[in-house]
Amino acid sequence: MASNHPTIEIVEVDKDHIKFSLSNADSSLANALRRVIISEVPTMAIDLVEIHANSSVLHDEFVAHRLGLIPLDSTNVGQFNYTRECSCNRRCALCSVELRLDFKCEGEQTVNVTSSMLYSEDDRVVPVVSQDMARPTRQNGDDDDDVVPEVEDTGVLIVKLQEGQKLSLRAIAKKGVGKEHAKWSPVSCVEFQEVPEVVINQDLMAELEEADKEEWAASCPSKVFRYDPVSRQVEVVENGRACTFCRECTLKGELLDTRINPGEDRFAKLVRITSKPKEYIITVESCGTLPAADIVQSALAVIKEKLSNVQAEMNGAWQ
Amino acid sequence: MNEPERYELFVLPEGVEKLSLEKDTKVPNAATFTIQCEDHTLGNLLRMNLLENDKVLFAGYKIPHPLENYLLLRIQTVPESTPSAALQQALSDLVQSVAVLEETFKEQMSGIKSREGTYL
Repeated sequence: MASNHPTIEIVEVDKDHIKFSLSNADSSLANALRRVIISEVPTMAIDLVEIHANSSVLHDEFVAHRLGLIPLDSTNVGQFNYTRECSCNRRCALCSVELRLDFKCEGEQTVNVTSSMLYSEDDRVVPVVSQDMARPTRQNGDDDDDVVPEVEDTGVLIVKLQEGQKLSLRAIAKKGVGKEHAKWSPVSCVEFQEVPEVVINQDLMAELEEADKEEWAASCPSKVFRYDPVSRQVEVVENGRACTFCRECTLKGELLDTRINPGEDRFAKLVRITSKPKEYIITVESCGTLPAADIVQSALAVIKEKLSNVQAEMNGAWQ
Repeated sequence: MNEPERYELFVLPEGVEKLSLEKDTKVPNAATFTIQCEDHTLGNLLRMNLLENDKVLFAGYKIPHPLENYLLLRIQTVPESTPSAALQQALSDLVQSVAVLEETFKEQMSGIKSREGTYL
């Protein structure tokens, strides 16, 4: 089955998003990839919290839980061990990172305590600061008025402190996977979808009046069809990539049937929508801890490792 | 209180075999594999691959209890093959597929990185 291997093709990619197509693959592979990305890609997250002082309005457990959910830059997660596999007794620099937070509100104004006030002992693992917000962005071309002013990312809000309130704590970040707790999941969203194939029956379409053609083309909520008033034809936009298989076009065809030729079932077949066999588009949205491309790479490695583990067991134990 | 530890989902307890095989006593060329600490990710992947093999007459998996972290994979083959051989074939086929994917993905990413500079 050598020639039968699946292929991957990156459609679009930036730091936090990636979209790629997986072709010649079974849905089980796409789903395995999705499941592994959600729950088995290792990242770093705060796991233990020692609270020295807390006079804020939130109780200790509440603060600890919020700390756990703060995304930490996990690009160097490969350099760390899992604590349970580490050779140390309880914990060491090879398997954990200590972060500190120490803040007292002195002034009259309420102060927001955020993740950017967490001081990390180790430069390799620090709270994520969004780069998109730090960088001024241009929208709608080069018009200078549209330049969004530079906004500093102030980090994730942990708690608000009033005058005299204090929060002082020590947090230990560890390596883990989303299966143990969702705070270790590197993604906010992963999805895979089938690739639509939209074919218009142009012979049948020619039987329609111009106004009906236009009305039919407009029936699609995802704007997959376009009526061209010059050629007087309905065409499919971008191979129907936007199609969501909602069948509104078929329902519209049925409506046209009841009006134009009642009792018949003709215009319901104006369009044939199928999904391409063995092809999936996977979209991954990182929550900032890892670049999206690294997540996919890591997930593929995890799947391979899972399979090889069973394989090694087979070769070792029997035969 | 009675919640099982989360790490039990993926840490193999001491003295437990990752994989064991029980031959079916009534059906020829059939066996049930028990794989510890695995879930639908691997179960479904193996089952679908096994079903593509002509020599496999039956392939199915189940996770008998949600709090017990093992899956049962039952395979029946034609007399010319054995369930173990079929599973081995499926595993090596999948490992190869994923390795190819990994390689192509890496290649495409380095292509994109060199073209668009350091986007990271």
